[in-house]
Amino acid sequence: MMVRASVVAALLCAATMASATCPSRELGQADIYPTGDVLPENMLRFYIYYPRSMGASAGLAHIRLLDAEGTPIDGAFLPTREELWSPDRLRLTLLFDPGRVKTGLKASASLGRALIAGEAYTLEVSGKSEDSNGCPLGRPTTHAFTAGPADVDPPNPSTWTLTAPAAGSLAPLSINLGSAHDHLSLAFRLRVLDASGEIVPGQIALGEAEKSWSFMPSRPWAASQYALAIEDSLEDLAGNRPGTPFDRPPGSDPLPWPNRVSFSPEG
Amino acid sequence: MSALKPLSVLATLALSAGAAVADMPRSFGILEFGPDNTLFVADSAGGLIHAYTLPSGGEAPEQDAAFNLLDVDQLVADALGSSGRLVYSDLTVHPVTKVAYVSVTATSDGVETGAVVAISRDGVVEILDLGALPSSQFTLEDTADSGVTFWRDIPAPSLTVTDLDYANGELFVSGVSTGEFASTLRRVPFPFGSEASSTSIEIYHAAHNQNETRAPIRAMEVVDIDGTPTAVAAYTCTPLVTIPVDALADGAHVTGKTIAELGYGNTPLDVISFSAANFQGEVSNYVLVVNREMDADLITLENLTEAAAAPGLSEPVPYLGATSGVQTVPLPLSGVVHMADQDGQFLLALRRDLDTGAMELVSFRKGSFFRLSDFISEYNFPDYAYADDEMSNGIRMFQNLLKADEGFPGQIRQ
Repeated sequence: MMVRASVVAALLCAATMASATCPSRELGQADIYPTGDVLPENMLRFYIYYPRSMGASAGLAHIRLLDAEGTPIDGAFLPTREELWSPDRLRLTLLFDPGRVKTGLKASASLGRALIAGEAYTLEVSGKSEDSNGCPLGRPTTHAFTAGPADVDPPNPSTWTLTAPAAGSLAPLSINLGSAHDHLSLAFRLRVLDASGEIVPGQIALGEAEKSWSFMPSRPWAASQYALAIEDSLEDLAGNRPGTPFDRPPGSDPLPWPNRVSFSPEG
Repeated sequence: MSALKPLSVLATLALSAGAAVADMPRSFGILEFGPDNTLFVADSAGGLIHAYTLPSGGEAPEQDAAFNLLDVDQLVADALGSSGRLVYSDLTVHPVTKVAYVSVTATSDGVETGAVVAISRDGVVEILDLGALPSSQFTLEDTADSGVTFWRDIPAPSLTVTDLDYANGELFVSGVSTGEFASTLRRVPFPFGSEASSTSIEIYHAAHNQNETRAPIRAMEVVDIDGTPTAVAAYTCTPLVTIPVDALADGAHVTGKTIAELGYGNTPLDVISFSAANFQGEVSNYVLVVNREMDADLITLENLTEAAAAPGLSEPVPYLGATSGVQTVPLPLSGVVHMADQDGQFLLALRRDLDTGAMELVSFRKGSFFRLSDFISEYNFPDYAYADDEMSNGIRMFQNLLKADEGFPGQIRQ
């Protein structure tokens, strides 16, 4: 017999937790990324950050994309067998159906893009979304935005503006990206390397609407050459990557782009 | 069996057992058998792949025989002690005992209860005591800790596993990132511990006339094509792609060869390779793509080999909905939720009865790929008389075989 009480107990421990009393105050609102109030009509995803580890039914069923009249837009997001939760169930990724984002597809032709440039929309996370204890968030979270023109230009680090910090300081390296980028890409796909190519420890901060990036080192800048290293999986809001737009016709070669941008703190 | 204990008793046990049991999956996803009684369980919520060593000693059945379980929901619900909605994430078959292993999650009042259950042909359901089995884990998250922190606490992107395949000492893992959206295929040596490699895959999607790097592989299997281990991968909407395993070097960006467009508006569920005899008794090797929205596509290994050696598709399909590429035979496998190779003579499927909604665990005889008992036809009427010619005798004998398979030996006609 393969069944042991401890395992069956573990399987059901969540059920006993669900009977816990929910706090009378609200659990708090979610955060929605990207944060900009104008988002490209071919944007690829939203991210929802919850204040608590969420329960099984908290996902897509409690999220609506509303048009300017408040009418829900059906089929905007790609249903997946398993929703795209972070392992701690604090973040949910919503993918716009790529069939409706790409040009020339059946879904794109018959349903059109979910977003139309110039129109106003609201993404709404229901206050009825429940955490892993079965307690509702309380208040809904909304993010109102206007759809802007499609973004088909790959990110190009050669157009970014770097403001080099002073040597010996803990001042941030600031980069104006010129346009909004995927916040996860900005967290994980950009690194500062020292003269020997090692990753410099420090803290990343993002500017308004994820259009700028800054980095504060843990130790003062040396008066030597550093480089900003850009991974090729860095994406903007529409899934364009350096050198390769999301919608890349076959036969088109990737465009050249620099994956290192050097800078030297000045003394 | 002890799995049938009432819920209240289990709840009491839960309180005394504490919240955490080591090495238990937090979610129960794709299943795959490896060497030496190893069962891999993809745990996307935990960001892990677990490798459990099942107890040895199970014996092979005396003969190949069909599963005919027409209400697995009830059997599983009884075993789990749950009245919630059941979602079946995967099905696989023990390579020796031919017992079905199913990953299932019951959701009741917003609370998930997951398990891997073993289901025998006679309908006995056992919940695997995973916490008590020897196990090792592979972490799916691959963002190294580089001493860099972020403006807020953000979890790193992890992988939601879409399929697993074990071949030649390695576990192949395809998935969608929980943060980013890239088609990633990982090679993980097993036993876990050595360096895993991660490759991004680009394909030409002829139905979309686009090169695609973001769409995830939905189902795959490593198949020996002319001596070259090759991943045969199916994508949504439905390109079929071959990627020689040797090309999957760490950090590489690989372009898969699109050998077929199987049709639009479809998600492939499983890719299975197996050998089967045809009506003439000739044994051939096949690859079967089981689809959610369309017929399943049966491809001979011969045709697959030829297509994999050819240049691959590079032109758009002529009109929306057109198929192209390798020759396939459509099989009538609707309602199938998951399918696996069972034994020498059968494929095994979790299948939803489209009228009643019941989940079935039923076998399909290889070569016929259908179940006679699904149909009421002229042959079913007691006064139907088979003619005494070669074709009618052949049909009668074949139907008798399927009647025996499907549990209706009393209806065999002499």
